[in-house]
Amino acid sequence: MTTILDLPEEIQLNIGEHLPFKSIYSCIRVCRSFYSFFIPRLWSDLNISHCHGGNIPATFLRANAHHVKNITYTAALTEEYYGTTVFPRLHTLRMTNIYTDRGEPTYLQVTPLQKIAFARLHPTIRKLVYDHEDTLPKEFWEIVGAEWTQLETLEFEGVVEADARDTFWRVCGQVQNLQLEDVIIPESVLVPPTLFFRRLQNLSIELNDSLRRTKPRQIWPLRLLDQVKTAEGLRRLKWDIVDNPFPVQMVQDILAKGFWPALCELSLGESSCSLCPDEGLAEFLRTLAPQRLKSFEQHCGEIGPLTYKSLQEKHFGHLQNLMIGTCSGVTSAMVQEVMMECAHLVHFFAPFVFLRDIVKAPKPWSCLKLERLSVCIVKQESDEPEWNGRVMKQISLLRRLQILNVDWVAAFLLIDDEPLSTILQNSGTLDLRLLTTSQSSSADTCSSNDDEPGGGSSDLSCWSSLVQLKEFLFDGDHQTLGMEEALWMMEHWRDMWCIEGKFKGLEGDDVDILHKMFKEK
Amino acid sequence: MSAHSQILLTSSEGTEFIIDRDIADKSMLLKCMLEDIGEIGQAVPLPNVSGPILTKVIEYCTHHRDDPNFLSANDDVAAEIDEWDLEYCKVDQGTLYELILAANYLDIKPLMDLTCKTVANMIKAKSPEEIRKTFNITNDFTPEEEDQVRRENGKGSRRLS
Repeated sequence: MTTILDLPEEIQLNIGEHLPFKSIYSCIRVCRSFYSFFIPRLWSDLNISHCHGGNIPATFLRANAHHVKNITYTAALTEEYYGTTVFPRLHTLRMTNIYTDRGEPTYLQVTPLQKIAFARLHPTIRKLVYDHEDTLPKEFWEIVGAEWTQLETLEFEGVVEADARDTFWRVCGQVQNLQLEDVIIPESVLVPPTLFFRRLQNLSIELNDSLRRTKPRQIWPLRLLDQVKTAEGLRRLKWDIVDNPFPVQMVQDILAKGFWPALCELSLGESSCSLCPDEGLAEFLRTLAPQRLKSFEQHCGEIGPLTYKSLQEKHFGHLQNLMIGTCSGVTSAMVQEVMMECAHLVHFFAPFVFLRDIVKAPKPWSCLKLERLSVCIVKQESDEPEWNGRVMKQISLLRRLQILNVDWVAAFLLIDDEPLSTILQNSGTLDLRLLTTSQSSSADTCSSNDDEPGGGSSDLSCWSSLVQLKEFLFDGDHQTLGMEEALWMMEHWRDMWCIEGKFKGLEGDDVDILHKMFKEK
Repeated sequence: MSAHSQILLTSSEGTEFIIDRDIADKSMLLKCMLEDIGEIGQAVPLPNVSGPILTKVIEYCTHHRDDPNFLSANDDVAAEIDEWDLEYCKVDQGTLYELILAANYLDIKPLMDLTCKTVANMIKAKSPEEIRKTFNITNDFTPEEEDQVRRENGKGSRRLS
């Protein structure tokens, strides 16, 4: 008979992909064959920080270096981690400031020379994420440009020196994903006109408020945008630049000339009003070709009524991603309309919706493909008790949900918006409790479809249909969930790895039990 | 060519199976083969697949015959296993591995993912000893090796995400 040990390597890898880290750690201790099947997965992602006691001993690291695909380094490390180990299959290098403690005696800043040496030894890198607080010398960018032939993604934050500018832009011109955040480039430095950005698919430019006070106004973003118009494959554009509104006219002209035929994702931020006026954005969205816009994100600022109308009339039929949870101007009725009309929605981040609007809607939600939903569901005093169950059931039909956030906090982002904030403050939220006497509960009188999972229940237990759920966030202050609910969640959501919220009335022992159960998962 | 044309397959023991062309097309191997050589009169031999397993594979492809997302949906590793698929995978381990091997050989990615996910679910949330029991595996580590594996890979090797 065929056994699991007879399966070829590529199949073992496929099985490994479906397993969480914890299971992989169990697998390598099963037997020698399992060890060799699963050990590459265990070592594929590493996070190396300058933190005593927590770090992997360098000797073990060297022994397993050939399995390492992704690595995260902090800005300070001892020589044994940087200088002497080569990772022959490295894909992703993150040099980020996750943790540095300058007070530690062994603190040792990694020098630019060490970084150059590291770059030279690792030409297989496909993705570089960099935000150490130093300045990379020209030579570093030269090596990246010449030797990292498979580089696809550059996410860079920092200063580019004048003498490194051309080499830096040349690297930018080679990648598919380019994310520049708070990049400071001397004013005299322009993008070389010979760069065409032919491979570019994703461009993100962010300059934050904090720069405005300390640094001269950066003029390169508009020039860069004009220069990348030859990028035929550009799909996603993110614009979040202090004092620089999204250049709607310029983008419209570029599209009108037939450039960027693939552009379908737009992300705008509000770095102190980098949004353009409502009319302008609405008109722009209206001119986009039908079927075009797959993703629209706006961070803070206001969603104007005209912008919303353009989205609804032209793009609701095909939108997959809508992120407007931190914007003012979004009403409960809008949120309900989105859920009712956007049948292809996969991610939806909204501020809040009234229970009443969901119940009174003419049609049920059509957004059955939702995988991530973040919305606060607001219950008012005058709402009828049975509405709670009806909304619970409506949510139970979103069977593909992986992340569900019903945290109250979202609504408080609108605190300046009177009288709305007063209404919200005096309201409650969707009640998630298990009804202990659910068989006889009057909340069960609403129409129920027999095919539905969870039978006729309309409390938390009807959410057992959300089998994909991995992350669940609720609000501790407005909910009174206790041990019973916590145990229910552990039992029914098998893939859960993050529950955020506060359970009420847990005694010491209960907390320990939960901790233990969660650790086992 | 018509979608309703039929294809003749022979399993490893020589049993013949007649299936509709659109069912055969669920297998990338058969699809490419049929596109390359066009309609052939004679049977396509599948020496790596036994009759009972081929029956089971055809059952899967027939059930998902009109599934519009047959190929696109399973890019998503985490997609849920629906009830029919769950029921379909309730077979003994030997059959399950044979199915994986057949799906791999015939290049039917959704079936491959489904069966691999089923095996992964048998591993999830188990200790090494429980895994050994489930799959009838003997522990061939020496105590020293076992200790080394635990030390080298345990504490401190923290993963991102």
